[in-house]
Amino acid sequence: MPKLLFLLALCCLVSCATDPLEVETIDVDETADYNGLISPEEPPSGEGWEEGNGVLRTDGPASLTLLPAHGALTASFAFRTGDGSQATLLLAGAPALTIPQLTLTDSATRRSVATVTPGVWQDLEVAYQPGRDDAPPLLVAAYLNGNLVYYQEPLPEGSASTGLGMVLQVEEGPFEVTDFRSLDRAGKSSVLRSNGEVELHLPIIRYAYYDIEGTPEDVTNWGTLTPDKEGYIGRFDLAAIREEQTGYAVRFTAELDIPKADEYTFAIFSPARTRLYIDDQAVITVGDPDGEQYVEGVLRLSEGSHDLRLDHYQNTGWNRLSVTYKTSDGEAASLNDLPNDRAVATPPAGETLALETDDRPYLLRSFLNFPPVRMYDFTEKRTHVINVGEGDGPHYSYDLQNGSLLQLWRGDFVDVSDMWVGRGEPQVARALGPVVAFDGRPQWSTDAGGWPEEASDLVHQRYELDERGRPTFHFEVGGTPVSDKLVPTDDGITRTVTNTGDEAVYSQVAAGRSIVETAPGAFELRGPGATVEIRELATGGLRILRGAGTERLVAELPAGEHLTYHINW
Amino acid sequence: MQVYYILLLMFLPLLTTAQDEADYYTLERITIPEDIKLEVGGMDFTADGKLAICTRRGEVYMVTDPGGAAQYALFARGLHEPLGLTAHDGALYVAQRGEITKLVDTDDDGTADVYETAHALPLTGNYHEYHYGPLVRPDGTLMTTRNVGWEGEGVSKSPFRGWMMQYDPVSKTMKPYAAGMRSPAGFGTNLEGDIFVAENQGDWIGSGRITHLEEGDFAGHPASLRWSGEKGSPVKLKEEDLNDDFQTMYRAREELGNVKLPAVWFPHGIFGISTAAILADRTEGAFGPFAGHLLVSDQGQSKIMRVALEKVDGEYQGAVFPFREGFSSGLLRLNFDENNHLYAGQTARGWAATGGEEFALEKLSWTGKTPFEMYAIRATADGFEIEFTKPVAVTNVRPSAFAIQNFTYLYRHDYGSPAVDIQDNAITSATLQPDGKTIKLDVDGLRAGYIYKVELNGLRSADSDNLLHNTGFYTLNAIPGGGGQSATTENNNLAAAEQSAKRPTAMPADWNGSYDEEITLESALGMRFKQQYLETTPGAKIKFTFRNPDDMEHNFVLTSGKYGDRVGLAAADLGLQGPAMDYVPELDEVLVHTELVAPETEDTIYFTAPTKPGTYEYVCTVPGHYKVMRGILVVRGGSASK
Repeated sequence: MPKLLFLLALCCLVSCATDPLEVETIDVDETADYNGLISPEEPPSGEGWEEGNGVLRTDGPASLTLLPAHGALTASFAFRTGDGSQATLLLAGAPALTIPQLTLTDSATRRSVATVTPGVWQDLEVAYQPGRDDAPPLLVAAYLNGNLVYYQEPLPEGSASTGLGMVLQVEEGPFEVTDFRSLDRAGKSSVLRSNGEVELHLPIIRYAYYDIEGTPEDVTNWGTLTPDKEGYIGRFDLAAIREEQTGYAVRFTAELDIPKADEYTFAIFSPARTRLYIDDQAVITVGDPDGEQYVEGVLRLSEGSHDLRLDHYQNTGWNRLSVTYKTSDGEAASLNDLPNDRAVATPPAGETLALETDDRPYLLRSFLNFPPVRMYDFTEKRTHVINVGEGDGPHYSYDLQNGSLLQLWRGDFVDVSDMWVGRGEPQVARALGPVVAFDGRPQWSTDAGGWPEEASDLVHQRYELDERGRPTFHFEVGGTPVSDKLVPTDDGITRTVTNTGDEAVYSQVAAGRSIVETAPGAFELRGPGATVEIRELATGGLRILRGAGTERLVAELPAGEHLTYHINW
Repeated sequence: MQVYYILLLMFLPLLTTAQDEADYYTLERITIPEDIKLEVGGMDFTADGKLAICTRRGEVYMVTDPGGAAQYALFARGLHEPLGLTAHDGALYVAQRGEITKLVDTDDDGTADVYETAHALPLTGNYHEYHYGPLVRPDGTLMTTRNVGWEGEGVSKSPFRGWMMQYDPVSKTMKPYAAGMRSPAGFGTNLEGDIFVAENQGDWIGSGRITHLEEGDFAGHPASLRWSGEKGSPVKLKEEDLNDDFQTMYRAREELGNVKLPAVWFPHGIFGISTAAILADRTEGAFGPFAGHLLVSDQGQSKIMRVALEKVDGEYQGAVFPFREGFSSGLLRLNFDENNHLYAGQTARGWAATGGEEFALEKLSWTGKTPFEMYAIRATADGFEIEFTKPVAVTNVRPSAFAIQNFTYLYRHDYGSPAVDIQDNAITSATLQPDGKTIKLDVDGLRAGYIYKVELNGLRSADSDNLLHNTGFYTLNAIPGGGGQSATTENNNLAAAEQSAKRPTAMPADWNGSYDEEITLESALGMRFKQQYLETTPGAKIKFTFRNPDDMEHNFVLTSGKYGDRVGLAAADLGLQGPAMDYVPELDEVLVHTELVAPETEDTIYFTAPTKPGTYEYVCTVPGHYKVMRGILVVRGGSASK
């Protein structure tokens, strides 16, 4: 900090220019991706909570009702704890997750070592499916900062004594909560985009699996069969359910939300016997003798929820099930199937092959699934990524095509099993610790009016290793040479971006759902949760580009100027 | 005892004349430290005599004294599956997936400290978008090749996939050079500096081959033509110009003009299954009698073949011969050191090789002895001239010492091709020429656009050596003087095939429409069956489906016991007929089999399980596969219930 003050003083004395740490806020035409979750009409409330700038705060003990009695649910919120804070999240009135430990039931399998850092905003997202018949309620998924922590874990039933809402019980403060959003479905559902396009998606699919004895021509007596197992799944993933190559049947049921009344064309490809029903009306039958393996069915659907049922009898050796839809004026798109031309994140199969770090940083070029994947969501590949690992971290993944710092993590480095085992088809490196991920947009721009989506005028030139083996990345942005160096420290990572050219350029410092200045040169981020501290910036200036649900802190770097800042999370 | 003595006397002459490739070229394993996975992707000698090697795991090693103590030093790491490396201008140039990278050691500490992106290329993320090279041209430009992606067929979804590219480091510009490649894993130049590219069997590629590429050429795979309309493209053909109706590349060339015919075809399974490195013998005789010939390695069959070219009507064509087999792994890269030893960099991860090892580095040295070999085959207006490495004993020079067949490959979107339209060529005369080393053959029925199998029997050299190898394949794109029959006038259906009795694709009528068991077997990527253990009961009626989600052809052959090796070996000996017979030899040990199943397809057969409980091996008999692609069907217990 003394260095910063000195620089500030020097800056004022020498140039009498404006304070480079002064932040100008500019409204830009940028909108965060809509994930279908919305703010409830009744905002969360409870005794002992104070509201300020949209953030609820308590020193505890206090209880906050996020939602009153609820059924199926996907909900997300940001929270921040202090040292010693302790809370429990109740779903439908029953204790579920503890905070900050993120413990669930004793038998639950924890999928990630994601931990809560006091003083830093955390994003928690849960999907919940109520109990049914003999099946207990289900925590379909829980993600902390986008890292999967639990998947499909049974929960205890709630009781009238605790109420049946989604409640945050803070036993010990301080505790802050904001950005609560929810959807009354246990997963991503259909959406109507602002451009009028409809995207259909089943939030969750219930399945019943039957082992079929003998080799009947068809299975029609579904009502008399007893399932060998039942459960929920995100897609029509036969491979994840079936226990035989052939001679089994699965009945899938789901709620199909139609956001806009239209004529919809559904299509199924199946080498077996498959039937699709919507609101109990037969739409498609595949597998009739002499019938085709690809069959379409058209029907008009009103806006609102419809019952979808898909009966699949596998009587051949080829397990393939493709389900697609199209609107009256749209292209065919996947309806929760596993399409050939897009990668879907499925539960991990093979063994981890950890790439160990040693006495020098390991710089590994790879493909990377980014943004971090949600179970059964589509994943995108960044193709020119370098992962830099050193000791226990922080490690980072960096996009050499656009200069962006994609993600940071601590702990073990990367799993290279998808690159170095067999042919290594995915060619994807996976971080072995919980990541904090930024938005992946270009690092550099010659124009601060808005922020580019594509780095069309950015060219990566080289990286040079210093005596400790740490890289400095060199680019040209619109012909101006710039460089970028990241140095891991005990409490985060320090990044220096430098303009070595003759023209001013802009470099992004961080982007998130919200960026709040807490002191000159100090910022708090939500979505992702992190803190940013500007350590060196002599001239130029800082701007926050404010869009809808997204904010971006950028620095103007005059010719010859550099910016050093520190990120912790 | 007397019997043994007589036997010994009987076989003594054979023993004395038996010869081996190792008598002429010795193969030596170079030690690799245990902690290094030397999956060689590319290699080259540096100016100071070190062997620089990049691995598929992204490491670059400098090997000092590779022919002696072989000391390995890590020079760089973390590259993205680099499949080519060239030492040039005091630096190493590497083709990794997303770019051509220049690695520089500025402080001379033995490790790269600058990783410079000479040129980045777009990718979709498809695993099959491999990148090879660079090859430095005399003008300082760098040539690279880009695999097409694989989505059940070769696809070109990012710019100039399936192209050879030329990068100029001075102007920093990249230009498309030639199109039509599928999996151009290796390329090199001959003594004249002309570029040849190797190609593997696949969709639109009937068999392995090498093709001379000049700027603007189209080498045959249409996916690349998606970009022929782009700025700078020297190729004008469009993807829709190509279809299966041409049947052969030769006819497509007649119709379309710019279809570059392979200079030499390598019959699949006989002369390799996956051609890779191309290296000219520039040793001027220090590596044996084949100076100027091209050595072409094969990844899947762990061996090297030799090519002797000539020019007819201004274009290259020529013959391929066996050279040296027995390498330890998948032979991807070849380089000569300054002492004219040949180094072989090898990897088999994901693509099994007959050598059996996951990776290897080996050195091949000439012993100084000259084998009696066909040196070259040259086309004449009336037949062929065959030149030998040594003077030929005149006594055996007669037409019956030669057998010639010709055939061609289908040009189509399907994966690979059998040898089709096979015809025998009568040899009307065989005359030893005045040089004593060349025999002129007059041959009936010459057809341009066909491949000629030339097999020799009983020839000896003047000093009584047998031939080390007796077979070569000559690709006759053009007949000197332009004679011969036209290939376009006949055989409108080249693809007719007969069905084998051991591939029952219809359910037997007496099963009355039902079976006891359905078994589905799948291939797994990397030449494996996904299921290596199947079980059934004696006499069970089985509906059996073999699915092949891999990106190459496979079959399923059930043997009558532990006969996987016997059947696999016999399949490799089927020669030209192999593909047309689905690589299934006519042996009693073969119980049933599927057809050769193309990628992303399946074949279903119906058969009754053996009635005798026991273990029955099954294999894929595509040459090179049976050693690793195998499993057992166990017939257990009592008889089937119905």
